Amino acid sequence: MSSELKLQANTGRVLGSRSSRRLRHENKIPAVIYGHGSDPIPVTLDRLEFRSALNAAGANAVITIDVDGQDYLSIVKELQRDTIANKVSHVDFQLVRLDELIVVDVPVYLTGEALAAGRQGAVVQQQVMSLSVQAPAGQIPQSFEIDIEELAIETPLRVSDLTLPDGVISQLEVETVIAIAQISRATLADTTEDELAVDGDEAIDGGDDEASAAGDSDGAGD
Amino acid sequence: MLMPRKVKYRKTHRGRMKGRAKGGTALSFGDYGIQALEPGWITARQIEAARIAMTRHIKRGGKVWINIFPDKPVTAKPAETRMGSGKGSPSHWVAVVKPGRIMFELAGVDNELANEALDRAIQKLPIRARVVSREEQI
Repeated sequence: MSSELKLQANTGRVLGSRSSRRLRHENKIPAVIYGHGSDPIPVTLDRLEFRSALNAAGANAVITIDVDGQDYLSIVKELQRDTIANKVSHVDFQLVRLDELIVVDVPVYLTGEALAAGRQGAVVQQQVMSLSVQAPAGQIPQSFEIDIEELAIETPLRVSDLTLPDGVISQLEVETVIAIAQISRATLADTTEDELAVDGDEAIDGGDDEASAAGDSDGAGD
Repeated sequence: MLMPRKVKYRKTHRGRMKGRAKGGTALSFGDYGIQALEPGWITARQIEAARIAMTRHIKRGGKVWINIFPDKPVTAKPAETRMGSGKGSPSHWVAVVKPGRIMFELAGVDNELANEALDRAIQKLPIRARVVSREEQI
């Protein structure tokens, strides 16, 4: 069993922070392959090759790693990043079988324009950025997309609104909110001010004694 | 302005700002953010100025998160005072920021407007910073 995505890796790297730093300077990434009770294998990857593979297939893709002529089927278990340079500094690969059930985090993307929420003066807020799912390694979805056109303040989008492929089970409760529409404090303050202004106008227009007295005391410039 | 409601000690040592931010280096709430590239003290006034610059530019819509809190008191002696006679009195509050820290986050606006708003906010800060987005973190 193998996947279409193939990466070349080399063994025989020297362990330790100093040699790993040297590797990173040479545009290589130190990595380790482990799982299924086997001994961990420290390997080296080419940065550009790894980045293009991950960009094409997503972070949860099953990758065949060719280590000195032997193929290992694996997924990316953990990515360590340099937060300033925004570069991957180390990769953990976990060995898998295509039919093996594994738990992974799949990113959730909102699509479309929230027209209903926009009419209510609300802002869409995504609560769940990635959904933890259990799935066979060969059937992990690259991402979930959910349309937010119908999203309104009173109807948040929940995990139950997602259509999961067969064999994929969500690890979160179905009631968990993925995205909600909320009125921001600034909009709320604007609306309150508008309402107060309208109320004030009505009171003055009403022409009762109190209102006219209040108007006089304000000294409207007459 | 942001400041603690109550503190255990009124005056603190200045401390050191070695190394990089240990946490808070990824976007947690919004789609865009401001990431510190230098260590520094951000005063409550600067945080407020950055927030106002951002919210005024995006006008309506959008949501802003402030991920840093000025919880460190800074003391100062009055002007034209001779040295000595102990530490000065608390003057203002600062947030200690290290490189990599996401200080502000923004959501609910388009890419162009978010970049403009965050650039304006960066102008109010005393350290080098950059705009980061969720897309480039993947």
